[in-house]
Amino acid sequence: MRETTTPGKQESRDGAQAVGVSLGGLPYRPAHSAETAPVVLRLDKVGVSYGNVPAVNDVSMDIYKNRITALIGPSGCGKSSILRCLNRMNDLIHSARVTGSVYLDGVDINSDAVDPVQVRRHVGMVFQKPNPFPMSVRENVAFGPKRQGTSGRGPLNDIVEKALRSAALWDEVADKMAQSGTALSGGQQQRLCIARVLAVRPEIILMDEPCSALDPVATLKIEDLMRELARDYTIVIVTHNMQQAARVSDYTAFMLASEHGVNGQLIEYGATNEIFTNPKDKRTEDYITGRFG
Amino acid sequence: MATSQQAIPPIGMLGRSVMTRRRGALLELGAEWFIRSTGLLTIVLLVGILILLARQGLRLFIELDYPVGRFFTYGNAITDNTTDPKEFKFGVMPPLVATFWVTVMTLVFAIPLGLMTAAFISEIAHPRVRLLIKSAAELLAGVPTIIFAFVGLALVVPRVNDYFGWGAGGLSGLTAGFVVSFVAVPLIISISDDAMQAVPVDYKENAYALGCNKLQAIWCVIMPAAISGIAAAVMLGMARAIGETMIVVILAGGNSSLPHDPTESMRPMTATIAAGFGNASEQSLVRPALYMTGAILFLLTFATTLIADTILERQRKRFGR
Repeated sequence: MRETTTPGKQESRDGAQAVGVSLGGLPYRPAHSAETAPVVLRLDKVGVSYGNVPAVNDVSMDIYKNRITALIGPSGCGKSSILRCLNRMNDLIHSARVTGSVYLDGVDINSDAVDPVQVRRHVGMVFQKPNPFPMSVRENVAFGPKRQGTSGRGPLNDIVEKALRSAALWDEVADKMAQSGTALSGGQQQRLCIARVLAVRPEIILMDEPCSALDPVATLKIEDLMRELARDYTIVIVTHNMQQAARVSDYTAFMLASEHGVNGQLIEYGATNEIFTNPKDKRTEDYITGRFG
Repeated sequence: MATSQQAIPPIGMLGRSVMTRRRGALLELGAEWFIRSTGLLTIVLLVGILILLARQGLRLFIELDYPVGRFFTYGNAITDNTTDPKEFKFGVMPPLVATFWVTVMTLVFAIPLGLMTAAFISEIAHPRVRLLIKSAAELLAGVPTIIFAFVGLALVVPRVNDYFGWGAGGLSGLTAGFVVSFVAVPLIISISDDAMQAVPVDYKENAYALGCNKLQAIWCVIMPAAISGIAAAVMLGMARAIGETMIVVILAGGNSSLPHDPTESMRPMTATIAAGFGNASEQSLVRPALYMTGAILFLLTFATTLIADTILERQRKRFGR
């Protein structure tokens, strides 16, 4: 499946060099100087605190279009908090406060003027636990489009089928559309959740440890699916599983907290093969070689 | 097998000590039975109440020769103190229908108000506001209903009379139902809020992540998932309305004939019993008639609670929670 990726990506995987070069004087770390894909998300000094406790701060990085970016690091380093900044999910936590800016196509989505509901229609999210709603497979996938005003059996059926095909689930559930989504297997449920997100037609898909509740076979299916989806979508994934990050992602960001759950920081960000074969930071090396974490 | 008998070792010291009763075991047994009997007590009470009401009530038909058909069909419920079955004009239908109207009116006002408030405090309001409203609701639930009746008499009745001219000078089933709804609302708020809070956070996050606004998340995901608790809340509010006495005595108007719509003056079952019992002599027909009414009231609330439980159970099975 990796053969199907764009030439630009091939380049980024091979001739790796300029990790950590600043961009226009800003302390961004472009993952790769040879990257040709445009930046879709730019995090500028993003920080999250809960109550008065800073969970993570000063994260600046660029996320490229149609690439898979993995956030790795030990538990409590703030990677999920950062991920949730990208579609304003932290709004749902009363004590959470997000500082800094997240630019989506040039617009700071962290600003009060921006409607989080609109942000989430552009930036979808898949969660750790596969959790279809307790309704039929069809209703699950049609849920998002319906809420956004799509109506009529015909158009909805088209959207549902397309989303299920994109999520590599259509063949398995075509005759089970009226069955409850919760009756599917764990891996199918997670792909159903992905289909549900695809039906909203987002540009970016966030995945928060999407495979941690799945068995290895189901995990591989999801990973294949992610590579497939990267042709049309930009994916940001949080994972505990370093092998997964190495297998599936184009870029990897390593994060680390000074103590558990406090003051998480971005330690290193770069092309995945760079991070895994030639890390610049000692802490990254220690982590990926399994010395801690 | 031949060896199986030999496999059992002779009783030694250890075996003997296991066989003797511990000191305090008797006490433990006693305590266990005491706890068990307190549990049984509720069932005994329930059955006992029903037997008492039915025995006293059935006297009306068996000893006092009041026609059963008349009791269930007569269009008035006059609680005159009489001992003559021919003079006695009491049918249970008017109070039953009055109770129905008051309950319906209560739910008409209490369901939207209670559920909207519950949705607001559960999903929209800041946790501090939620706590404030919830404790206020719980305090409200503790206010004696006679106070509600006073407030209704002072504020609601004159307005109903002035604007609509319903019932007897503003006293009607609708007026009573409206005021009873303020007794039912805190109950509905509290239980529905608990139910919505219990909806897994995953459901909520998924709904929002799929681009739902708050209203859509509440209406399409949170409320359906919490439907069991919400149904239970409504059922309990309903039981409360059926059993409410003081407010309906004062505000429903007290007309003992069959009410055709909720805007009429009427006298529900509880008010009929409360009003009639005082001047009923031991030998009169009124007493057994009121006991019979009480038995029906009891069965009604019992059935409501039972239905609520059944719904709850079915929903629990469906959601696997």
